[in-house]
Amino acid sequence: MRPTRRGWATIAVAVGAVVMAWLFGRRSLNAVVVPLSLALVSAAGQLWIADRPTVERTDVRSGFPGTSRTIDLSIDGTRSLLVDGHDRVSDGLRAEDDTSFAATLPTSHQYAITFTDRGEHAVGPVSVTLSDTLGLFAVECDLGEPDTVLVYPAVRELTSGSRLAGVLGVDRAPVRQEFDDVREYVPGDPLEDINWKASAKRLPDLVLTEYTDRQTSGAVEVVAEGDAESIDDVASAAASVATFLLDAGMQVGVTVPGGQIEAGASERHHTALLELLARTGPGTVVEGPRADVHVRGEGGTVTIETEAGSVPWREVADISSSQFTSVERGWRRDNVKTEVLA
Amino acid sequence: MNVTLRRLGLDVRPSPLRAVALLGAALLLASFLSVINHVLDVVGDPALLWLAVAVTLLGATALAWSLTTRQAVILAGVLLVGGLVWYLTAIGGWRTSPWPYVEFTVAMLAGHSILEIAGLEAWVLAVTPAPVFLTWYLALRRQYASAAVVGGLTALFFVLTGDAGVESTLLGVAGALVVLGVGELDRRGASLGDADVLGVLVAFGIVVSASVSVLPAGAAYAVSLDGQLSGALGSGGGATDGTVEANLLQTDNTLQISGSVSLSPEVRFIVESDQREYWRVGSFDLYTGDGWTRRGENGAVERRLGSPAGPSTTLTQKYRVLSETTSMPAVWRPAVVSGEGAADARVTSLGGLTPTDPLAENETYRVRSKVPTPTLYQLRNAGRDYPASIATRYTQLPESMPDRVAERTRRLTANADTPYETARVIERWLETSRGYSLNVSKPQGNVADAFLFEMERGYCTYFATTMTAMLRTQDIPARFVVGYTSGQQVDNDTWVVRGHDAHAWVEVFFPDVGWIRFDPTPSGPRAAAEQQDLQTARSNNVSNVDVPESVETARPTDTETATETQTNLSAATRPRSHHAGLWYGNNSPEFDPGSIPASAREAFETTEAGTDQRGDGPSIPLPTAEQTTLGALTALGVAGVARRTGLIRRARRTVYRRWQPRADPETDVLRAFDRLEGVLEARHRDRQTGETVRDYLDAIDADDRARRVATIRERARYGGTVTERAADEAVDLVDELIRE
Repeated sequence: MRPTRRGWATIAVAVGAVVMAWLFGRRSLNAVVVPLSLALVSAAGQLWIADRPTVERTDVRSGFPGTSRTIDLSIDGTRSLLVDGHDRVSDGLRAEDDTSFAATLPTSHQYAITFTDRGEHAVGPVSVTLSDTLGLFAVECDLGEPDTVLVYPAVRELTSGSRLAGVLGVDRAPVRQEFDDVREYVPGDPLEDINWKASAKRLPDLVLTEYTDRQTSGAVEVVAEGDAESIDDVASAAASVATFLLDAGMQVGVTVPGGQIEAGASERHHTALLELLARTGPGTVVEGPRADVHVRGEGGTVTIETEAGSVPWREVADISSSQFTSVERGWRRDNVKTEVLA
Repeated sequence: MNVTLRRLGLDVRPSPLRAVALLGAALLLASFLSVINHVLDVVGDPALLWLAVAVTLLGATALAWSLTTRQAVILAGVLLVGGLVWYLTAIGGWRTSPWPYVEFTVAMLAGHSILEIAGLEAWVLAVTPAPVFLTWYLALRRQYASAAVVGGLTALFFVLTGDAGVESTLLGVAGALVVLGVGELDRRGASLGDADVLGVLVAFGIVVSASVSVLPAGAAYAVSLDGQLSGALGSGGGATDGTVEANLLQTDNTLQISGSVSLSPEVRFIVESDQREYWRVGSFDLYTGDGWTRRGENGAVERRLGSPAGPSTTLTQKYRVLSETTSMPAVWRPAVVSGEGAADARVTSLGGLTPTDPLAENETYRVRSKVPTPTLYQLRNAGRDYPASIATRYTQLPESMPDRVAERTRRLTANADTPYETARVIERWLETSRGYSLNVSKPQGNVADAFLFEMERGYCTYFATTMTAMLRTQDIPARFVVGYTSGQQVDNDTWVVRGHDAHAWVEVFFPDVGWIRFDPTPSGPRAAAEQQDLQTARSNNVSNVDVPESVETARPTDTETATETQTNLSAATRPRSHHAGLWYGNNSPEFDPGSIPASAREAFETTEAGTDQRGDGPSIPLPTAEQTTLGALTALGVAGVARRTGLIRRARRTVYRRWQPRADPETDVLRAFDRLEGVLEARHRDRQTGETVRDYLDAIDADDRARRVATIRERARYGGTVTERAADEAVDLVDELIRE
């Protein structure tokens, strides 16, 4: 606990009044000194007995760079204490509004952030300065744990789709969305394959869509690696390629310096791929599957290599395009649509 | 940026907190404006001040949203500097060096009343608008902390000058705390309920500071207006607080009339003088309604001392100081002063001596005085041809002085033809119609008015104040004088002067004569009180009460002599020898009671008969506006405590439970059941959600009466019908259960 500027001023006036009274006579200075001393004592006391405030922050869902999220803070504690604070937003996230607030307890504060860089970032903890109602004394503390925010790599549309498709050999693959049959849901089936429309007619039973290509489309293994300078672009390229392949109905497995994910095709799988690519750091893949697609970054240059040849990522990515429209289009489920798009 | 601007107070959204914060600002302004008002009232008409304040407040409100803070501060600065330049030009007091102004300001901060400022009315008009404007502007702009600082420092200035009383000071402090605290809550968009802590704090502040003093008894230095720092009294020196002596003589330029006082028997001086005299210390020219102030700076001895205009005789006195003191008595009018104690003596603007540093024990000094010795004829024929400077300075009265004082004085002195007769009539009337007591409570408002119309007794301060004020209502220049009476005569030409000899009297100015002393205090009772004080002290073996000489004469037989010497001054021979030996001398004409015209004596007696109409004023003093406000603030604070502790809710619940107003049967039954449930829940446990009334009553093993009420309620609620009788029964049963 320390006196604020206002507190020091109050102390100065009270002490000054005592000195003046001692030097030149009391006058009415008692009526100044007593209330001010009481104010100081009660201010310190108010802080002394105050509970440590608690803070709650709504979970921040992961998203792509450019996505905005609203952060909701609610701070609870001893009534009518003054609270001044600000939430910390780490690099890679940009606060759109003022993250600071001045209020009395209990209070809540809202602000928006925009994701800027791929990676694992943190929001919080909230730093607060707690003062008594008159603001004479203050205590500073950090409240709550930081929340992790995951920003996926940017997923770009592939401009020369046909060229890359040629490289990837996707045009030879069957279209995945060809619908084969519906069958009853059994526990263990992926939730994202539930056919809600059909289920609605047959409640309480749930119905699952089966795709013909599930087993036949085969798996593509993407290996991505790069140095510190290019790893962001590598991740972005790998994510774009993986998304493109998944959109094309293929199963995709990804191996990066930070880990590996077996081939799969579900929505959940896509999210898992993005999360892995969001987290990965620079390095080389020492041990992994045979790469169908090899995304390699060195000195800021990223190339995509396949058996058919190699192509620089710069030439394939449509930088001007909104970076994840393809994802939005490609994603069949509502989890993308609820996101606020920049 | 917008958000920041809004937070800085650019929005005008109303809220109860904002209203309270502005009220606090108004309180802060009122606290020092009331002080200025009071002070201005002493020297002139405060109407102009209020006009200026009203214009300033309107201006601040109008400009609040068109001026930036920077501009407002500059404007206030221009107002202040411009005002001071105008003021200095108006009083023609430009000096080449700024040093005297600095000294004067320091002296004011050290406790000199603003009453001592030359051209006070102009000064007030010059200085007041700036802080009023800035405080109000800042409060309107939601910059409450700055408003509290500006207003608070202004109020503090008047506290330091000693002009703000305890009540005004408390109002100011409360106002500042409210502006600061409630303002902060308002800026943060809190609710009114959050301010309860502040209410409690303000209430506590008021109550505690009224009952507790935390300030040390200090060094009590004094700074004179010309910047001389006079030393503090060492320990053991000086008069004890709460004595007449301390009240009258331990003052700088301002004297506050107080309530009950005691006497101090300690020996102060030994005076050698050929004549019995009053050892005069100082006088005051400005009557503030509840005290006296001396205006003007002290000056050098050579320039200020002189002799009276009329005939005078020379009287030499030698003073030996017996306990450290800041008083330097001298018989009026001192002409020459010498000796070690007089080395650093200065002279007040009114001609009294004052040492720069306290006189130490055993220091001595000599004074040669020119004592006025006018004849009665000269006094009667002195006329009213007063010099203008005397007339304006010594006929001042507060603007708020009730007219009835002048009216009564006029009636009383209707038949006095000359100022001299007027003075004698007033002096005698006060002596005979008011009792002497040291034990009085200080009246509210104007002391002279209260002493005339509400009080029956008082001590010298009251008598002298009232007489001076009464004379002034008749345009007779008069002033309030303090000093010591002659004290105990221990030898032909030696007097021992003690603390309890401190006294206040009156001097009246007569053209071509000078200042002549009048003493309206009944001297018999006063001397008796002093004598009793002395004897009590002697029998308690209090130290410093006697010097060897005074003990000699204080043997049992001599005590009476001493007493008689004292009383000789008054009771027995009053009013004849009242002045005898003081300034008349042996061959001066003496005042003869018969010399009061018969008609005057009549007027005198009529008034005497009418003294039981003293209840002109209210007998129970009404609280002042300040007291009312403080009381209201305290009440709010108590409400705050009640709210914080949930007392109000509990009280409301208790009342609800105990008292049931009747309406229609159905409402009555439902409420009766509600009350019953409350009581049962308080005595047993809460009824859980989903638990039926029956289950609950079974679970807590309720009384049959409770079950009966439950049945009636069920019928009323679901059966739809309930009779007046059933309702009565339910209410009665519940009443009964609650009373148990």
